[in-house]
Amino acid sequence: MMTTVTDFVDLRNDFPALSGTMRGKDLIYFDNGATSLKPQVVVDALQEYYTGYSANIHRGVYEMSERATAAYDRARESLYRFLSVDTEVGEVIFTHGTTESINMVAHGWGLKELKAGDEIALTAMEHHANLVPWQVIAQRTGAELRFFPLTAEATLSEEGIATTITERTKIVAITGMSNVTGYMPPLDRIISLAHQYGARVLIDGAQLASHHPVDVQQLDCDFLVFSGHKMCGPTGVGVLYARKELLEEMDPFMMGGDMIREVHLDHSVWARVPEKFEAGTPHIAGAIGLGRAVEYLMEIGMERIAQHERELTSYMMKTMKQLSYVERFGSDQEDNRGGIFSFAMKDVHPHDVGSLLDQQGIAVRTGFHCAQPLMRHFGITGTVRASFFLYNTTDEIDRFAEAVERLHSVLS
Amino acid sequence: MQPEEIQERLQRLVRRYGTPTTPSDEMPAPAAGHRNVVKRVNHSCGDAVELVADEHADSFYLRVQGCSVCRAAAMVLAQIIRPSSPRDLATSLLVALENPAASNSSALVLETIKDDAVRSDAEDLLLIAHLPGRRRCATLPVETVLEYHHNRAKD
Repeated sequence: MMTTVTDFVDLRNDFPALSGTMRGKDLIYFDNGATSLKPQVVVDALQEYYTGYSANIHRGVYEMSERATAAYDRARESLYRFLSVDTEVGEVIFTHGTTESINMVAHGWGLKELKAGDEIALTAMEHHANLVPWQVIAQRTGAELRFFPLTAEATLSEEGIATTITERTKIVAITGMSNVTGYMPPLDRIISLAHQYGARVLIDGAQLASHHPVDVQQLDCDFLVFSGHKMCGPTGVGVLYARKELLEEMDPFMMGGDMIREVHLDHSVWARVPEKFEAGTPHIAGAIGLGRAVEYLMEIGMERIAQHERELTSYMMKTMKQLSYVERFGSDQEDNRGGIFSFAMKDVHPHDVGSLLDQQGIAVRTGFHCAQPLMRHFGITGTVRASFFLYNTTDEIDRFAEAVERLHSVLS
Repeated sequence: MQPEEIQERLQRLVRRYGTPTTPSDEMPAPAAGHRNVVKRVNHSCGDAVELVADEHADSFYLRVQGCSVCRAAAMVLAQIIRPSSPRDLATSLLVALENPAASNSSALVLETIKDDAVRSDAEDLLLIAHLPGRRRCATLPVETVLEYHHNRAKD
């Protein structure tokens, strides 16, 4: 089906927040890299659980608990479809979000598998959530962090990839899409090369999975992590997808109820995957809400969403290129980037730009975006970041550009 | 608080303090024998304020890498606080910025400022402090000075 602007304009009605105002102006929400707005169907799913059947799952012997368990299980099945999971090969674990998912792998897999002399391959464009845990694991195991060289525009080169992944690499932990520049590294090439050396690959999909189709079978990654709240779902819930064979070998990160098969005074036996990694009462409502969110996204079509955001990004880049006082960060290449646009205005601090846009009803993110090493790469302390989702429009980009021009003219 | 009023005040501060080199130029020049004694960072944006003092703590100045609000706050502080002065004024400024609706602290701070331009900057800051997202920008230099006083009291 062809994407039409009208289709996506109509979808705005699904998001109650978009009918509201900010600072008395019609809201333009360009902070989707931080979190997305929520469609009514997700709000309804949460409300139905909390008002209708908010029992605990798994061990209840009454109807309401059975209903909650079934809804929780259906949410996992929705994730299987969303990611094209072959359940013989991989499994979906519900977590609190991307950060917890990465920590689960770093501690559960990294502490067990890494040793002195091994290398963890990363990039300097990682969100801190995909850097700090690996720093800690490297310190504890004696493994070394090795970084793919970045080009001036913070992209990866074939040569850099080929020289960074070696026989010493045991895991590559890399973003699927930079939360600062929108750059999407060549994951196929990286995964293929890593696997040639027997290394594992973790994809930080916090930005990728919300905006692009992800087929884990085709991608052939070992771990994929992302958060629900950036993709129309509730906050406090996320996903760790991993190969089952790895999950069986990994140690659980959290211990407690629901993740055990037997408990003795001096030892315990873990439950099977996925329960082994879901200790305690999970975020049941969150999982149900996330399940509904990915159903909503699949109804629209992830490829259509990605195409819509490519069009928005292209339009934004063309529009902002005309403003000579705007410095853009990242590559201008459109074929390997998602809907994130980072920039700075000459002589105006990003925080000030963000506040002044706020006064015009425009929500953007400012600062270092949890990516300080990348800021140092660019020689700056922060940027202004506009990030898109399915409900954004080219009209909003026009209004945004007018607001930026107005700022420049007032401040000059 | 009308968005237009906040916008106007913020624009004024950006024009006055937005260019990165301006505030440090206006700060007292570094003196021989001075050293950094306190550094505080705004963890939401990476902006930093350093307090630099001489070895006898007879004089200090603030070095700011930050936005217009942070720089303006440092400038106001530099005008009203001296190493020998009681830290009450810095505390009053902190209270006023953290709770701009509390008029007592705001009034106390504004009364102390003799220079019209600095008082105008302080008034702008106190208004912008109504924006929770910018409050930390304004309080960072004040917290830096208070930490310096606190450390001196301990010594």
